[in-house]
Amino acid sequence: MITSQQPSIPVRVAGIDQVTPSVKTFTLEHAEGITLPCFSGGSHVVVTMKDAQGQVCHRNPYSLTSPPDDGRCYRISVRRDDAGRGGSLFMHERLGEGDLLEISAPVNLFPLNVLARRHVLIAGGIGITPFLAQMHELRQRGVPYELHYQFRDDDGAPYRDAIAAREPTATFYESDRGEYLDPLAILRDQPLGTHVYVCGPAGLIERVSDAAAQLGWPARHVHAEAFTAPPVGEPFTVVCNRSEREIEVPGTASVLEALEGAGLEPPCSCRGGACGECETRVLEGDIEHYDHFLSDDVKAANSRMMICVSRARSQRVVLDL
Amino acid sequence: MSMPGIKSKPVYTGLTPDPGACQHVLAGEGPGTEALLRMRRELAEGNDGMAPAASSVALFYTAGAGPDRGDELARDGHGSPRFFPDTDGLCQALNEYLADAGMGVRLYVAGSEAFLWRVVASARDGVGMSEAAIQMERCGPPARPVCCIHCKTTDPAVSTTVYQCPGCGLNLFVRDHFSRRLGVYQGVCVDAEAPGDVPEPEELDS
Repeated sequence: MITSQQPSIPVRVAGIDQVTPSVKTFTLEHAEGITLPCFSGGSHVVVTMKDAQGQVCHRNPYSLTSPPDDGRCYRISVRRDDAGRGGSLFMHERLGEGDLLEISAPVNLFPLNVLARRHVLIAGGIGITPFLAQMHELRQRGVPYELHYQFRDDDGAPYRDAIAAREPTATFYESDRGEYLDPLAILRDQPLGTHVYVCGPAGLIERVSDAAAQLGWPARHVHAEAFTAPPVGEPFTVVCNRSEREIEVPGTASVLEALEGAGLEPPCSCRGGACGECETRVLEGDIEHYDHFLSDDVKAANSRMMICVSRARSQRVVLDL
Repeated sequence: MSMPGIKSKPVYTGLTPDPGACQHVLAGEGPGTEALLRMRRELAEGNDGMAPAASSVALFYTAGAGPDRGDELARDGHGSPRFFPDTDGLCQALNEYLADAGMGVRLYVAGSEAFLWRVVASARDGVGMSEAAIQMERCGPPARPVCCIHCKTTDPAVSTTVYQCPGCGLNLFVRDHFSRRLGVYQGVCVDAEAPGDVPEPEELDS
């Protein structure tokens, strides 16, 4: 099978900081002590986690939060999700300083528009992470920006104090104290050449997109980080038409993970339904689509699926793999 | 001599009122008059579930490449157009207007290809407007703005390939490669390999 999977970068965990009770920040250095590639604000890396037997158990994408031009280390922030599929728990409980990990090269599916005159950044909770790197970049380029940061309480607000100290344009909204950001008010009087970026819960993304549309913003000026963690669902069987394999997909794994577990290497990049790399032709079966990539028409036709997040509604699905 | 498959060659569609916009601005020169009249009518009447928008429609006009049909726009009765002696004056006033507009504004431009891209560049460089908020309709004869890659002279209305560069006198082949930033096609010396071996000029038809 042809693969477009990137060569991985070996890194060592150089530091772990408990930023809030539920968020840890990991500082990663190249395992061989060499410089890491520079990246652009909004980039993520996919972290490959291995169990005690050396078997891959999780691959999760995390935004890079460190200054993009600093090749000495990368930083990622991970929120512990006790109800999730286990990747964040692995990062929180199993990883110690000095441990080795593999990460992909940085990929950016949430870049700043270089022609923009002004940037409005809207974060919800842990959705602050891509903006940490982007604000470094914007400060350096001298482009005006403003940050609006919505969170539930102090525990849900990683980096609040650091941002408050450094970012005079930041506004904070603590929903436990009845503070909510108003997308219409934020977007109403923005000048021509403004781009808005939102990263956070689906509800926040929707409210910002709706407000922008209501105010007549061109859709191309509205950007959302659209990662989806692969959902948990019913188990089903994948038949790979070309390689003539039948693979069981458990309820807690994605099709992509099940294929990788069986030794296959289908093309993929973001593992979050956003980049389009793992688009696969569906020959038989009903698909429950969870991605942000395929058009509604294609989704309805059941002819293609993004195997990193979408699942089968039928017990059996035949893929052109 | 055309080169199929050159992706940078712009594809122009007709102007259509954007129902998502809050404010509409028209800019045109003589050859674009039909399009301007049609757009003003459509905006005033509303279409596709869009409410009539006449109250917030501004129109900037210069005769430009001609013929001048400004009197038809003045008679038309849908608001009062602003007339300018040249494209520079139009662009300057347009930018002053756009500087006070917000992200809900759409700009509709109608005229020769050189005019379209001068207005687009002026709005982009002057007030940061992106092409996402701009529609263009190419009107009049299919003459192209072409920049000589050798001496950088731009001829705003080249109607044949090959043509003689007004700056350096070289015989230039007009390529379909287009720069959106500069608003010009590339003109490349056609007889560099065999000086004097110049093909017959052909009319540009698109």
